[in-house]
Amino acid sequence: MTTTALTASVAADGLVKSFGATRAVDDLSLTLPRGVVGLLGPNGAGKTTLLRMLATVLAPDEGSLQLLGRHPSRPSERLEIRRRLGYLPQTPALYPGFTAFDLVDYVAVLKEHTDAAWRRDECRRVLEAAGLSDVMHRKIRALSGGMRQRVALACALIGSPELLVLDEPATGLDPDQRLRLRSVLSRTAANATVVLSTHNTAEVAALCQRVYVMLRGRICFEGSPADLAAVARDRVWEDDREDDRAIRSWQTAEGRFRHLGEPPAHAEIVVPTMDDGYLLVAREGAS
Amino acid sequence: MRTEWHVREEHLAEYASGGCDPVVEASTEAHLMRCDHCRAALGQHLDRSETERRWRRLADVVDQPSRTSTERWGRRRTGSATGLGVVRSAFGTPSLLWAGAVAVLVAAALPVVAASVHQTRGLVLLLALAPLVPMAAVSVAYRHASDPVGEIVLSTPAAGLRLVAMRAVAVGAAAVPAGLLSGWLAGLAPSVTVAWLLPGVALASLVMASGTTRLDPVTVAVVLGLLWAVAVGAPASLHAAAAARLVDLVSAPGTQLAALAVGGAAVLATVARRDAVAYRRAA
Repeated sequence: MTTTALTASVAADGLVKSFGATRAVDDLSLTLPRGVVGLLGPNGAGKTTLLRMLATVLAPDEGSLQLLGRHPSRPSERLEIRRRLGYLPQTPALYPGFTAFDLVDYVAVLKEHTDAAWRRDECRRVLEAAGLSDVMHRKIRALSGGMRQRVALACALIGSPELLVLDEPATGLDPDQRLRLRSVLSRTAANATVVLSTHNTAEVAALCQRVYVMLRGRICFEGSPADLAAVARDRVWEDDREDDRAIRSWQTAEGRFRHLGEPPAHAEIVVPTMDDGYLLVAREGAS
Repeated sequence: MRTEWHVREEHLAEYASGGCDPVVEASTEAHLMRCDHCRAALGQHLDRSETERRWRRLADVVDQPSRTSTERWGRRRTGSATGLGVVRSAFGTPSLLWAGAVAVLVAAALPVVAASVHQTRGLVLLLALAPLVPMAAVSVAYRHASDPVGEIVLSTPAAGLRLVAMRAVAVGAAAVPAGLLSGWLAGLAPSVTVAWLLPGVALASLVMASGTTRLDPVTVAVVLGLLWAVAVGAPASLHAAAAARLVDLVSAPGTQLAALAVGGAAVLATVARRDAVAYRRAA
């Protein structure tokens, strides 16, 4: 492992995780620095499995993994990692009979925060950060889907974790709530590594310093959001008609056709977006 | 709202310090409700840190996590953070609370049913089904879906064998004494009343040990339960003589010692492999 890997918050080398005959994560290596890191990829690419390994929920079958400079395979080091970790699973199943405050307090207990006064202050802090101060004493069953998602986010924020692992945190959030999420994560990332998976490239463009595209259990792109858009530079054109030469085409709201691939001569080249870059990377990675 | 008179400064100062005459206090309070000027003036007499401390104390009372009566009962018996977590999850959520109640009900009902059914076949029913109760408690304790926060619990320092074992005990603890007491009250022979206990411990320990492997403890519990119930119940349902022999066989010291040995070995294996519970290889 290199010196960079040793100082990174997350350093994975040759990670493998299989479920039966399916290799969900296949010989994956990456190093993640501090800041917000986005993980893009289609369904079934292995994002959730990778995040569950980063959250110490699952052990890899093969390969080496270091989180916050510690090895999760060693019990004492894993305990230390978990004390400094926050995790939001893809579908957080929260017990509907607890209030938001009770639930966050319960997670704080599981995170070994024994001082009741400290816990109360911390619960208020994370619930306020998640924009739930007004509803903290309502039962989970009385909260909307977006609010429940934010309760789970508040649980992840307890104790100001140095590694925050979020699996599709923006699911079910309206634009206002997304904005709040961005602001919370940006503040958290000042002193932590935030790894989030999403299908939304706009979310990545707004939040992440680094972006990874995952396909079939492997990383097939690594760079900044601008780098991902740049993948499609000079490879996106628009036309009034369909074009068989394009590897991907779709009709825009204006009724024109947007094409990806090697443009024909005299094509009307347009400025690429992250979506264009992602689609090209995913297409080329799959072929 | 404007008023024509205002509270005198010395009365405001007395009111702020809490040393006001009750009559003046009531009058001042009524006036403060409708006078912006006096409310603002009162602020100058209040110690800011003291006000903040009082608000904080009030917020602490309001923000106290709510607890059910069962939870309060259980909480008095634990001190550690993990213990508190177990209490909140086991006594505060219906999934584990229901599991515990069902376990108690089944364990208490089986000896009564056994005593009321034809003597020997009733005992076989007891020996075939009662050992499944502790096993079911363990399989429920392993299911992270039963936890109030689902998968989140697995990424916390509390995750691991200790939490699973404590939940299993929380679910099954009342069932064992309920079953034994019910058997004694139903007038069953003491040797039969306790005969299901060690096989139950053995089966529960095997399910506990299966949680350290890639096997799903719930599947293991179902398979083991079916095997046990069929092995004990099937021959007895065919021949009355076989039923009597089976009751003798299960109650025999040799069988009981074998169950103890299996249970002990499974517990030792679980403890030796406890890290696999805290850091799972299966999904």
